[in-house]
Amino acid sequence: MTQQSYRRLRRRALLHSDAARRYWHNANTLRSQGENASAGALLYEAAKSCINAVANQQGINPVKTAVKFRFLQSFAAARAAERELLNGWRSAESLHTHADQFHLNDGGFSTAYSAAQAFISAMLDIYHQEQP
Amino acid sequence: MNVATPAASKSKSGAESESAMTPQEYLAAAEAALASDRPLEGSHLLWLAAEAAFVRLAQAYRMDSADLHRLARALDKKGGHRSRYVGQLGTAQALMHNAVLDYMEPYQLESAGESVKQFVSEVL
Repeated sequence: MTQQSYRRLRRRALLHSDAARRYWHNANTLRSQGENASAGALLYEAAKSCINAVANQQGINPVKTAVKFRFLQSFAAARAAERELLNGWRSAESLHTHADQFHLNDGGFSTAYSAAQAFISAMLDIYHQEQP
Repeated sequence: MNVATPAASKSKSGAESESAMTPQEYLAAAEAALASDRPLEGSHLLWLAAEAAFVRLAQAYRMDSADLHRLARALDKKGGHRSRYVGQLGTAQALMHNAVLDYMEPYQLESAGESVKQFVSEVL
């Protein structure tokens, strides 16, 4: 990777972290209005943006969701909270599926939403800790 | 399927013998199902393994397991965790729903199964 493309990815990392925060904020607004399916869909987008932010920060550009997951898996393996991060991402994926299938009951939605929020918060913390 | 219903009392799996299975037995049955290319059955059995492990945890801490969502939140609060148990339940319920909706890719099912295995071995 050239120095130029590395710098480009670092700039995109910042854009992704900003997008994650906006998606998260908008998700919570929708949830407060009772629009749970839409809120869950936005929270999933926030979770994806978090992975992009941390990956881009490290000079990696995972485009497909499966590649994002592989990055998260290898990245989380080096951290104490590996299982917590992966479980949080899976909850975000459940919210994404819920936006299509409407399969989660109130308790299930709350659990997935809480775990996905914790994932986003942890990933944004990591992003900030890794900033030069 | 109702995630608020513990396996020990009202499992949807139906069989009496299955409702008496331990988390390890559910895990072994799940691994057998997955090895025999029956991913939906394996997914359901992984959910039951996690559900039974949550019930065990509740018994160990003398907590109510009637509502697993409430239990997971209480366990996180008790242990000072951000989302350790809530996230684990999130994975477990994803497996439960996958058994019906069949939405997980093989890599997702494998990773979720690994998470349940680690959880069960940690609990027991």
